[in-house]
Amino acid sequence: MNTPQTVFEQLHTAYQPMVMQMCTGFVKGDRDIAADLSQEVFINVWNALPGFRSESSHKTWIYRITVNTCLQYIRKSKNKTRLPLEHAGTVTETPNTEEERASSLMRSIGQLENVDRLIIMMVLDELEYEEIARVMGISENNLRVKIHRIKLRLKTLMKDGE
Amino acid sequence: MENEFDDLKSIWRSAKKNPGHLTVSTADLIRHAESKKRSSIVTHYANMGVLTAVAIMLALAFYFWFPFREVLSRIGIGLMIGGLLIRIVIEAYSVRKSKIVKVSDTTAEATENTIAFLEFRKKVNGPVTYGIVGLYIVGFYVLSPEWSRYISTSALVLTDVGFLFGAIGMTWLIRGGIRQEMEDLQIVADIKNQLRNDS
Repeated sequence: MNTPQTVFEQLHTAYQPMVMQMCTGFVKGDRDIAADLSQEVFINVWNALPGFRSESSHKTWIYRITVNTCLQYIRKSKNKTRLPLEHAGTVTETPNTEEERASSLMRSIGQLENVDRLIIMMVLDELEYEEIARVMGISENNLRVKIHRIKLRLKTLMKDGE
Repeated sequence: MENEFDDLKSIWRSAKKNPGHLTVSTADLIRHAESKKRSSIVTHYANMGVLTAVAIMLALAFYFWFPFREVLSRIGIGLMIGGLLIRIVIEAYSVRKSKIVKVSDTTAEATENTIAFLEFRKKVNGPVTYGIVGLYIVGFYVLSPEWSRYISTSALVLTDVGFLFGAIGMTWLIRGGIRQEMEDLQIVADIKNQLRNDS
């Protein structure tokens, strides 16, 4: 029988890497804050689980909770001291290792606007545009225009970071 | 550009394989979620509880220890306790209204609902609270004429001046609350603008 605990365990196991990755990108690569934020996402998942009505897939539903929790984090963290982006470790040479390339990508994503950051991470996660539009609650056309602009901006940021 | 973006996707995929910090167990998360839910309920109702306790204590005090007789004094008591009761009702409504913000809604819906809630809080923490504090202050000072018959002038002056400082402190706290709500509102309005851009 699928108890709420079993369903939650399955969701946690299946989506934890995705959630952690989105949170890491959102908090500009800070893995400690990302771990806390990722926990907050799953606490929200547990609390919202009784209200899940199968109108969307579990995947879309968890993306929604992740995006909204990340956006709520901006308000919750506004009074905390934040590490300025330039102190997060700037790579001056061309990133070589996989880890350096990943952290260069995270830093570039971190320079985008909050909503753009979340959208591009879902694109990188290869979520269908239709699904991303359903997560964000905006039209697919609006989303396509946004994604085009964000990709151009990200390309510039990646070049500047090299 | 698509090829370059495919490279980024591949970097993203590789990074995902090494997410780190996977130490929290599901059981611990559930325990943490349940305890957070409990403390959130307590926080929600604590404010109302404190206000209710103050209203009851005032009512008892005015009934048993300081039974004012004059009409003006009774109006004062009505203003003080009535203001508190209005605030308690508003707090209860606010707890109910906060439930419209659902973290599993689309970002656009959650943003709209958060703005509606924060706009409501801004009103509650602004004009409504100032109004209630105003009623409380007026209510307190109209007790002074009858009060002056039972205590010395110096004690009356001391009480009235002390109350004035309390009122100033309260106003300062309210202003802090409004500033906080305004900052939150600005953040959510920015998110709404970011969602609207390009449409």
